[in-house]
Amino acid sequence: MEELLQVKNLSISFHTYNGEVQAVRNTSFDLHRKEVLAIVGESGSGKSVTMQSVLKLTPCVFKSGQIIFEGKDITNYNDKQMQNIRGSQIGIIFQDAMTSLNPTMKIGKQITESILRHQKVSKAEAKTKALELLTQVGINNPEKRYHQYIHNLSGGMRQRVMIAIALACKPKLLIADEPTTALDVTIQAQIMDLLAKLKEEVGCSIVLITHDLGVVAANADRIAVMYAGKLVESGTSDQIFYHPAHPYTRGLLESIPRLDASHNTKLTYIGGTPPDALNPSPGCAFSARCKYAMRICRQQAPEDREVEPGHTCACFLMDDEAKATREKMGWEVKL
Amino acid sequence: MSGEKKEVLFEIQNLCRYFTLDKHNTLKAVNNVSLTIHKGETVGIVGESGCGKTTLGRTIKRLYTATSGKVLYKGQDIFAMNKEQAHKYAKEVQMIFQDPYSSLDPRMTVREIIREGMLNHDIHKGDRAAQDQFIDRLLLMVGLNREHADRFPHEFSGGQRQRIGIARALAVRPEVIICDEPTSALDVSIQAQVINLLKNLQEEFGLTLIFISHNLSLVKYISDRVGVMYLGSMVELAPSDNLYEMPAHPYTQALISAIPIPDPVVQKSRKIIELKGDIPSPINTPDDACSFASRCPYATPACSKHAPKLELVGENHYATCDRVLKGETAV
Repeated sequence: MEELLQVKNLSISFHTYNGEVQAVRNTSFDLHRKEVLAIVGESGSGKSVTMQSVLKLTPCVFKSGQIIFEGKDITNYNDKQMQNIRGSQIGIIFQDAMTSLNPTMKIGKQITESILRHQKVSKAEAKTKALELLTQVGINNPEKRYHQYIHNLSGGMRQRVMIAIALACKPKLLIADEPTTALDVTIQAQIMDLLAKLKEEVGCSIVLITHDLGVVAANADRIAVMYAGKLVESGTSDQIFYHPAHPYTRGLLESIPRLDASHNTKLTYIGGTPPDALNPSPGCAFSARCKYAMRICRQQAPEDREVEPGHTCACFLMDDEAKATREKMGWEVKL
Repeated sequence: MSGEKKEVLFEIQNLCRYFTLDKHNTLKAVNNVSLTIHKGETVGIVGESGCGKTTLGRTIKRLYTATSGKVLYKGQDIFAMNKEQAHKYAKEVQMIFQDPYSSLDPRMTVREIIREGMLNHDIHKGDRAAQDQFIDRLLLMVGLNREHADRFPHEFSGGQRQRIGIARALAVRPEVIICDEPTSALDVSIQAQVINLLKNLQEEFGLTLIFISHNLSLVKYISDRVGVMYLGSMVELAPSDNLYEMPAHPYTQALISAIPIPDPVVQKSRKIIELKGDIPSPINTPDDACSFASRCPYATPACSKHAPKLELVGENHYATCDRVLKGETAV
């Protein structure tokens, strides 16, 4: 498969009064065409910042890295060049539709805005397209909704409008940043269903940013797990769910209460608290909370190791020298 | 917790809490809810946003008065209490709030926050040293250190703040803790810590927990019995495992099917009952119709003509659906 997006050694920082916050540290990943890649992590792990910096939407300090979209290096694109990519080639859906959409602008205008910006069409044609889009995302009575404001809509409907805007120009890549976090579960099911359907119709790739592994399970082809600004593990959905290698991924999977588990099962948890992004440790960021941490983990940052084809993990336990330790713990890791 | 004769702690009878918006509009946040809570058990209240679960919790805590109906606590109507009884009730029933950021006073140290309730309710009255000792013990119990006592809330992470909230609730030696979405602002790995803490404390002190949440997997994990709310009414009430294995009400069935399970094979093989449309507005809901009729896949004209009551459909299992009562669905 050909790569649509390649992110290489990306490092991003923010300067604050308290010092430099290293939001993303040396992260690399690829996205194939027509694939759904889920970036999973807890709050502050850098998952949103990573994708926002691909679109250059955050005022961050770009320390190093390379972003290649469709074979072109867009790392040093200026604002004007980025404007031609945003909305037309890459669409984005944000978490909170209420604050991401313009409350003083009619819904129709917000959709036609991006169509008129990127395509050579007349206003009437843009309107026809917008109405089609509204129907496509499952909004009843599009003619009426076209002339309404977003405060007339419910949360689920607003999210549908946002999806319509993001897909207005048939982008090649859709970034969905926590698209269902603000929604109720029954509405979440509707929206995830809609995204899967539209992905087939438009033929785009999706980067799904979420903290909810349940949402990921049915929808993602590949998963990248982030912790404290670093990508700690990536692999196919099955590899991550059934053969997790990194202790953090294991802990995360075990700490989710599952609907299909009995009411008396014990919930395991990861002790400690997420690390301080202001002073990251020189070693592995997870070492302070890791049950299996060794001396080297606190001194040196582990590099990505291939556990099996397509499955990488940044952990010293995956090293050949740690084989005995792995066996002692009964971890099945294919190496 | 399957003792045969359990002491009844709460008897909630046809509780209604309406909010009058203007002359013509009334928001029926809690509509005709009846529920019995026994000592030492955990009752989960689940539902989507706007279903009235928080209002129910707050009315039980006596933060709201009831529009109609009764809440009997140890046989006594909480809305007919005199000042002294109300003060005692306030001590025995404590609450943990959803947002650990706004529910702690930013200008008080942790020690002051925890001591405030103790002073109010005469715990170790007049003996500051004993109070301090008790505060240290509480902090250790919730997984914090005594060094934390003289810090301010902003110095803590979300999970730690929620622990402070729990310590504050425990400081007055309550019998009941109402937990209103205690972990929805926390990350999953931290959520598990807080939930395990609540479970351990419950065993240690024999607490009764009312656990309000929108997260059904979590509620299943912590609760003995679960009540499902929709649009102000309680549509189903059953023992935890029963509810999830054999949901009787069509809304519960849809709700459970919509919760994703973090396992690709299991999740892909599940059938999701998709509900059409959104939750209707709780303003001026008709009293003589099933609240779920507008979205129910099985609705018949009869459903919008009378409001079904919560009735026994299985062992300890109650639901408000005519279909279930007639045996038209597998329970």
